[in-house]
Amino acid sequence: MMTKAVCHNPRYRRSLALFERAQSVIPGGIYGHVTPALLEPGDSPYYAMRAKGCRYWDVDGNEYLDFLCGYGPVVLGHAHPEVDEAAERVRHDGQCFNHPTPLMVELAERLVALIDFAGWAVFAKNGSDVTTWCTQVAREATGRRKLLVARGAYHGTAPWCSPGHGGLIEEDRRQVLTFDWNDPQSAKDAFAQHGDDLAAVIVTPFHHPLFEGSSLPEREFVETTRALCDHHGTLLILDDIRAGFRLHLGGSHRVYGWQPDLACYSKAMANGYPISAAVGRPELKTAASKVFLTGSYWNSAVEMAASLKTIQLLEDQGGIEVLRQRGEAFVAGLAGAAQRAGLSVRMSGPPAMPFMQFENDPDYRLRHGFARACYEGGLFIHPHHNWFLSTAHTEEDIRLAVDIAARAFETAKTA
Amino acid sequence: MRHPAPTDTLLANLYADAVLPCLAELLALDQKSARVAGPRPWQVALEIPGREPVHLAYANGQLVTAKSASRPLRLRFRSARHFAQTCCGEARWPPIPVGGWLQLPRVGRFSALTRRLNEVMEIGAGSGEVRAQLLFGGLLVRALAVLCRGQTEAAALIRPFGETTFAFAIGGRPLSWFESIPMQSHYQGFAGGPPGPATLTIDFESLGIARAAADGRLDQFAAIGLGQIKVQGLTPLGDALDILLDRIDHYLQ
Repeated sequence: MMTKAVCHNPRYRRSLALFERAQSVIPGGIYGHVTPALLEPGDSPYYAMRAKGCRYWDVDGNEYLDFLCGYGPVVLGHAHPEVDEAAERVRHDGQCFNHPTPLMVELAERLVALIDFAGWAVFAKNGSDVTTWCTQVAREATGRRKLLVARGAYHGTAPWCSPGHGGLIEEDRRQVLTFDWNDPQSAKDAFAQHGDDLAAVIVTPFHHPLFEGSSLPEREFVETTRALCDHHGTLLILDDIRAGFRLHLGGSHRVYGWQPDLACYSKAMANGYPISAAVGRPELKTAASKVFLTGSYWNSAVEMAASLKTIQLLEDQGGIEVLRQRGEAFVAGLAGAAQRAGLSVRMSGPPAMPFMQFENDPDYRLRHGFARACYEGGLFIHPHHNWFLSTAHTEEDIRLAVDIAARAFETAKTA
Repeated sequence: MRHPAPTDTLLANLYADAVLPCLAELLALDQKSARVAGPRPWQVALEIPGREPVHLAYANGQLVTAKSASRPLRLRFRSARHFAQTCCGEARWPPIPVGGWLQLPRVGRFSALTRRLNEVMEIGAGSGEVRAQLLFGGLLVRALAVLCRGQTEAAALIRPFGETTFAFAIGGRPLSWFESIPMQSHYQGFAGGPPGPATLTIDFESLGIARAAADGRLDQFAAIGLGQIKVQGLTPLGDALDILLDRIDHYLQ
């Protein structure tokens, strides 16, 4: 019986039944970063039904405090009434036109005003759209071929950067070089060898490789990378897709001292509405204008209205500070609960996007046991991917989450 | 997924150290192979330039790979490539017998046994369960060891994980395991279960699921979601091994 699910956790009965249907008509059943293979197969929800604020419900009716926030986009909480109203008002007038709407101009002006180095902005739908496009702008501007990326960094699903293996050929990565995060010498070595043909270095504001702890950039690394770019005429692209508008309204480079030439945003900029953006220094506008950029739905005003409202609400409500404070409380609460359970954990990343690893857990027994117990208790975290907070998480929600985690630590010890 | 082309030496070592030991396992799993191996003992030494010879000694329905054997039929190959081509059935010349002449009449038994292995390993040949048991019962972990010893780039993929053990299992029963100690360039594959808990175990729910995986008919991500394959332990190591196992499959096709 090839198609018979052998997972039997009744808590996820409907999820598994749906998955059984899905796998016969969809490759992988569920594909990409939301694949159950990266969670706890058979012991985690596969399908969501609805969400509100910092909570969501799966198809089995289980409720979760959501600390993944749709893998980042939900920064103000799910189904935020003001964002949804702004989007709905625009949607009512039509969704797909022959032209952009005035909102595109308004949003570009807003981003250029917010982001200190930006002289222009363009829009797409997903992170990969704009990270890939920025590499093309860098090649157009410099006339060079090669890209330098930090080992383990994620920049999207395009062949030059996909973390997958299928369907790739050597030529896809032939012009992509790697260096080690927070290792100035590694950057120097790469420039020494390829500087004359290096179009761009692309970095995330902080390093958040899958499975591993996050790593904040050291000042020397940031300064050395910029200096090398300046010396060799290479552009610095900041992939701020994951962190942008969660750490600083003016872009995460303001937190860590990066001075990018181009930067990419998506996720938190529209509270879950599908939009991404690239911005760049004024002097790169001509090169940008030469690199073809379009998509059938990329001019849609609905997402732009949502983005404008999201940014406004983050600004009006001091959202960045709320995220930081709630994140710090969550991180401190988790560390304390782990200690009381006799477990040693390492928290990493900025508080608004934390990640937790167990010390002395070489086979991930604790990590998986903890994740399963969190799901069982109604707390949704990811065992391998950094987490996200939203401004909808209240102090009470944080306390509740820490209580669930405390019980999960105890369960994990016996896993 | 595209892989770097293997060197002749790597291919020869894959056949010699990972595939040929399957002959012994085949005899235990497949009645027909015992018949083709014949009733009388025989011994063969395969002399492959650039590496130590492979000695195979057959007796009483069992085959052992030994460091040496007494007066075997010695078959000399012109090169590692010649050996690999012979294993693939693509060689233009047979190996040259250079000694052990008394064994010569029985060389046909050795050839027949290797042909039987080829039949069994053929996808869709009706012997898929034996094929799955051979693959997950030893061939793949031995091949992983050969690959990591012979290809720097392959070893680099698992080096970041440090000392690890990886096991294949069916229905919770370990079938084979792979030991990696990168600091010592030690990579070894074994049949059976590891002595302690494995860093990572890939456990097929049944032989049928293992067979589907071996035949390339299984949607792996769907199977994991359904619980037909349990990946237990250090998940990212599985990602690295997935590349290497795909490479082995590519090389041995």
